Amino acid sequence: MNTDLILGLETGPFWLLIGAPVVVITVMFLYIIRIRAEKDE
Amino acid sequence: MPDTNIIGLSIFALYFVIIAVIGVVAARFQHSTDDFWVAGRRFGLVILIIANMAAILNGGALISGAGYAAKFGGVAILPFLGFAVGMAIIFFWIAKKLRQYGGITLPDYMGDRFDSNILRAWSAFIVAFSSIIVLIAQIRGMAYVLESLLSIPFFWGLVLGTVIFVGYVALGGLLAVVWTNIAQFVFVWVGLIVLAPAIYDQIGGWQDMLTKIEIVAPGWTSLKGLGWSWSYLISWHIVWAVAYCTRVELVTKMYAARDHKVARYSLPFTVLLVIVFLLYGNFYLGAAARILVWDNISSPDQAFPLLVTQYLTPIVAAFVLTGIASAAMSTTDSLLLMSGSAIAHDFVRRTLHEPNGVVKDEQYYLRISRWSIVVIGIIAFIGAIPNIALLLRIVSFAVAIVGTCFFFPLLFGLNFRWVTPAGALASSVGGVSLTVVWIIASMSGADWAKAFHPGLPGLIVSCILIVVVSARTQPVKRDTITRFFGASR
Repeated sequence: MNTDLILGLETGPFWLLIGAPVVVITVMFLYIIRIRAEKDE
Repeated sequence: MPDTNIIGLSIFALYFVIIAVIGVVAARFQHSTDDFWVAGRRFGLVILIIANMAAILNGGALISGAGYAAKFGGVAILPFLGFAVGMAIIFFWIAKKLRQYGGITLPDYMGDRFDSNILRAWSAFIVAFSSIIVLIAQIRGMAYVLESLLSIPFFWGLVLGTVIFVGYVALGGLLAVVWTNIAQFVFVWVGLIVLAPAIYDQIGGWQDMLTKIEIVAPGWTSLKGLGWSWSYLISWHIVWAVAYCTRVELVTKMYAARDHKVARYSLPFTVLLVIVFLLYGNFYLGAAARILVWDNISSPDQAFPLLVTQYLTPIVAAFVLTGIASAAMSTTDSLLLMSGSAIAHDFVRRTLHEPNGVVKDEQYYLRISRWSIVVIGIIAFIGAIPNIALLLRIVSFAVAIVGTCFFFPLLFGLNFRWVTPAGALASSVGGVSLTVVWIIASMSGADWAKAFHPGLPGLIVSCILIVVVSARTQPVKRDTITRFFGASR
């Protein structure tokens, strides 16, 4: 099998394609916790 | 009539009845253009997530997405990183201000923020033009599925699908679109879930699939797929990031949220669900199509329907195909609504009537809205008759045009006071023009044009123009600045 797998867990590209979006989503969720407390303008 | 035909017909008839009832009931709630185009701005979180997902998970994303992945490799699935970044841009810098501004369409924003009817008309033209292109692709996808599902000729699949979605959109506006999205959402998920065991029996789990696809198509699982260059791969991600945060049918859903917080909360949930969905729906099923049915098809778009009809019992296949046809409809209806609003609201009402003092009542504009939807449905239907291969490639060019038209005027215009009308116009027109030239060169086979996705050079020029021209021209009136940024500091 090609060692340069897209979704093979052991390789770097996996984290680029799946891990990086998960980081982006996590940042959005953390920001939601912050803005939940904001009062409407 | 064969059994499969009767089963397909029965399940589709059930779906049709549900959708028709929704269209008729939703029509009773339409009293003004605000009701029609943005459903009275009443959507809560769950409804908005489903509406967002329906805007993204279209027939093209499922049918052509699987076909595209089968042809070019796993890398060709919806670029998750680009997609997540695009949605994050809406989340952090666009959704709140756009919802607080409270317009109806993106051309509304362009006209009001830059105090320019030229920008309003230009962007309405781009929305109508690109929506019709994507609409044509979606209708064809839908017709392929109806052809398999009902064993009818492609042309009649086209007629049937178009009549259904034009009917409920013209009757019930955005409310009908979102209610039907919920019904469609159920059909799509159930359809894809029942497909899983049959495909698993054929190609096994994730690792088995990766092994088998590399034997059939060496390089399929590599980061560059089957024949993509690094520069094209990177520009593909950048263009999709921009394309998602300017995707008209998605961004305008922010207007329909109950408030700006609901608009923002819906976005990370949408990204998460879409990624889970497409890892299976495009990547795994794309590989399955390449392994199992690739030698029996003439166009990649046929891969998915053939996979379904070949490996499922007729009743299950009918359910899956109804789900996919409904996915095609769930985006098609939003696009139809967008192109209808570009003509009825942006052109007729805001560009022709209001600036010239023509006064008409809401019922008049409601009628115009419905007729514009019928007319665009007919245009898209005629455009869908000739055979155009690889729907997603065409769609990606159309979304690149929208991206270069709106991205910088939207992102910079909502966040910086210094953006001027001339800067926004130069950015939008300059970016779109270069993208169109690049698309023509790319499709004519010029090697230099194939190195990048056509949207990327357009975006670079668009960014330069908005900064340079804004620095040398007059800003909008103080009232307009106050409306978008509050009282001056």
